[in-house]
Amino acid sequence: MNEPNKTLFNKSRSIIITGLFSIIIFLIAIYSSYFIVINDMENQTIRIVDSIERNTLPLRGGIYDSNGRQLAKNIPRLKLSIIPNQLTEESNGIAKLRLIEDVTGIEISKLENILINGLNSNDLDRPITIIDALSNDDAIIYSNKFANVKGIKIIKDVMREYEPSSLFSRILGNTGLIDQSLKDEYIKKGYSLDAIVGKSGLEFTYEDALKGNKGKQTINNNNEKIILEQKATNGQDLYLAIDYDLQKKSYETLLKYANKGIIDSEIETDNILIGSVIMIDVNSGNILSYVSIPDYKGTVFSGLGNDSDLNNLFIDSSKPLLDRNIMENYPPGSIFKPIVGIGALEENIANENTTINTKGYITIQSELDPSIEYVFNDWAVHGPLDFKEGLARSSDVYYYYLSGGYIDENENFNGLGVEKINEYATKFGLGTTTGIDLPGEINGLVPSKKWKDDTLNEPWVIGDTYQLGIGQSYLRVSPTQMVVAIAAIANNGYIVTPKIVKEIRNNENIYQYTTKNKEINIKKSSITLMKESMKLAADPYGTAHAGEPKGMTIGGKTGTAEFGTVAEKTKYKTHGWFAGFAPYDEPEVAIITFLNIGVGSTHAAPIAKEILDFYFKRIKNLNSMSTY
Amino acid sequence: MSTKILTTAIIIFLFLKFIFNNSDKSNAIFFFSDLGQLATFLIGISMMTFAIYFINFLKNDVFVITFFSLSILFLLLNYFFGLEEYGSTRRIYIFSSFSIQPSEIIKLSLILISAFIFDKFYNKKIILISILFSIYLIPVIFIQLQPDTSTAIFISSFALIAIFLSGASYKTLSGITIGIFSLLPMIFAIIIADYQLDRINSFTDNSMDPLGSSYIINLVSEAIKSGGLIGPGIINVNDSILSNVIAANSDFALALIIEQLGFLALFLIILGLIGILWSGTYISYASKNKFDYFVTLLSTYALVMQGLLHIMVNVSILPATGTTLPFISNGNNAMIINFILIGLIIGVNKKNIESDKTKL
Repeated sequence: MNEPNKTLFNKSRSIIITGLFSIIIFLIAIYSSYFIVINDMENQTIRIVDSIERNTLPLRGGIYDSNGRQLAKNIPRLKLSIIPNQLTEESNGIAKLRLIEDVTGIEISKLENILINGLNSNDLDRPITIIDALSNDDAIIYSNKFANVKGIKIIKDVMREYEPSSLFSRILGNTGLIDQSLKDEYIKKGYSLDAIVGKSGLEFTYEDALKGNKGKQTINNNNEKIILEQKATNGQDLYLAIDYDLQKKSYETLLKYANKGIIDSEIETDNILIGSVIMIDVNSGNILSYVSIPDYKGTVFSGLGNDSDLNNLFIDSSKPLLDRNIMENYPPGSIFKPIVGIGALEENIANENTTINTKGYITIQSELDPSIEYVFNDWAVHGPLDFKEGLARSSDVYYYYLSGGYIDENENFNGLGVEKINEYATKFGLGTTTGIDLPGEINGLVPSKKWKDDTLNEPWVIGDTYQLGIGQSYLRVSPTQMVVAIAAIANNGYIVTPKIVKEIRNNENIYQYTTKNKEINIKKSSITLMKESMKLAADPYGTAHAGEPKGMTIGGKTGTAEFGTVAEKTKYKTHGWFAGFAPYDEPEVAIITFLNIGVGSTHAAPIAKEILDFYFKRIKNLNSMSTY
Repeated sequence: MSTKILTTAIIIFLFLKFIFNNSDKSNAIFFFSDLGQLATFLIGISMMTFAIYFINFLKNDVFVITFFSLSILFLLLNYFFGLEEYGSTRRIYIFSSFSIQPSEIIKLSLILISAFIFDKFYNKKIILISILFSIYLIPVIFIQLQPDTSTAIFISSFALIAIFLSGASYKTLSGITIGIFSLLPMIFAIIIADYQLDRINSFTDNSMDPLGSSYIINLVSEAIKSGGLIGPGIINVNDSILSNVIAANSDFALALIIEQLGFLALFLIILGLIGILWSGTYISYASKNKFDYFVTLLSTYALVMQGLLHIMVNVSILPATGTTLPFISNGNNAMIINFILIGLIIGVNKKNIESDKTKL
């Protein structure tokens, strides 16, 4: 019937197009069905009209000791807050304030002030806190009373709680609002102005790891239903190499001998116990014990903190906020001798057999006025000493020779000189920061001719070199710098970076926090000889024997550094130092104990002895038991 | 059979249109969002009726040529006197609520003149193809100048279909295709407007500019996703996720209706489009002359293509182009033109049936 039409014109092409369209429609239908029914848009940030988007805050990472004991954690914080934008909804804003006044007892004028102060930010959806850190009971009462009042809300938040004792307070640090002066820096990094950030200690250093990442929630304004959520990632956890028990032991021992040091000194002081202990793993730089007194309780920064406690910390004349391990410098005294000794060996000024007959003092003529003679005393008359004995007996005269040399009619002994001493001290990491993972470390000072000339406008004299050779003069070091130097001797010439944090963990991964050790070019033979000397020092023959635990061989060196002005008669106040590594054969740890007032061998050394004893008998055994 | 399918398809669309309108309760008049929409709908229905009964008038040489010249003139007028909206000049306002959108009108006039030329020059392939090519080229250039790239591409594709249907050799076709599509990047580079770049960029990266174009895309996706299988039923437009999106009831009508009826709405629309496609093709096949054949096919394809484009935009296959969903989207010109197109199809069908009857 349609026959004529077919010859009239070709219609076959319409079938092709229609077919193509049909296929496209089917494909789109399948895709669209998938899109509607199955496709979830998890990864898309969606902003919904008539809805608000708010940040969800991640939980800050925890901080744990080497055994997993929690030292810093998050605790809930409940805040009674006003949301300005909603306050005037439904009913009168003033009426709502009156209600708050009735329930909480806070006067309405005060509430208005809080509100006005809080309104400084332009964001009217941002809650303004009326009462911070509500008790659970109050929170329950208020949430009932204000349940149906729009604009008044109890907001859940978290705050930091720290190990309450003072053992870790300094290490952990604290968190707080961003300082006004650092505002721009933090905003650049994506912080909001009301963010809580690490301010000191590990909280500051590891801010990036601890803070986590903000999430986003889109909430329908009408029914408060969460429409879309991008989960916040919580911060990572820090694990320290420090064991709580060892830390406690270190702390108690330090206190005991600091007290003894002051009593024994018989010099009138202000009786403030100042001192520190730092013990590190000589190979990894992991800090095993880290104490500095005076200190403060961990509770000071826990929760909302206590303002009066905090103020006391700032005005306290003993400066408890100051970390004696890194923020203060002291003359090291004789514990500096190993570095001078290694320098002398390296520069061929001395060798194992260099024997010096020490008479208890040396005298030199003044460079300016030959009629004046200066006497440099030793602490005892030791007689002839070889290299090892020179260190083991801690003979000052021996080290006057090594550092400044000695020339008279009988002898012509060339010393290292100030520049070489400076060179070796610098090689061992003195005079610069160690890179420890705590903020506030200072450089210290390794003097040189130029330094004295520039700073004091005085020429460097031979007497300065002698003083420098026994760790006095202008030399200033921190206990942490010294422990790195001693560790470098113990590990045969590697400068480690001391670090509090051993591991950074999140849910899935454990990152070993490692740093690269820096090799210093010192002959193995020099180091070995110095280790042997330090072993001799810790033997009954030497001055550092008080630092050696029973049944163990260590390398050690005491130091008693005079400081300040003459206190009584010819007596100076002295810092007591002990530097050591243990065990002697295969050193694992290096330790520095420091007492502001004390004598190296009688006060500082026993501290090390007790800590090393505790560490190797208790901690190591415990650990090896748990490992097997 | 084709009559029944077509009728079903139209009923589906009208059903959805009323559902769609019913949600827009703000100034609802007889299920229409405002008086203008009601008027447009009524004008559309009358134009459709006109097309059904006076299809032979639309075939008239003088009418076709005049209509085509007028719509080209409108395009020119629009280019010089049109009012810029959302970064593009698309309409000429006759009075406040009524405007002429030349790029919509040109679709109808192109269909008519294509069919007219197909009828006249069927046996002279070269002339036929050359004329077809040139009548499509002019509007494409002017629409692109507005700029309205999506309509330009729509009409270019339409030109290809028309030329293909006219019996051009595959060699010619591939030449033209390559020509058009190699020109496109150039056109893009020279006259693409900022707002279009926004749309395209935001499509490829929808996290970009959260409050701008990608924001809308995200909203549309969210709206569609919220529909589920059968949706929550009719919801007030103010509660819609898209309630604040400008032109949501035209450009994102599918999203709005899926938000209410869920997957069911999409199913119905696909069914309607298939119905129109297949019945339209069948009617054209059964038609008795070249003009009817061509006009039915092109009308069918125009409707189906618009529908497909609209769906693809709404489910994020394509960047937002401003293509309306036939019969459902609000809008003056597109609505009327679509009614006329379906009127043409029904008209040809009516003629086919009548001529079959007379033969019997």
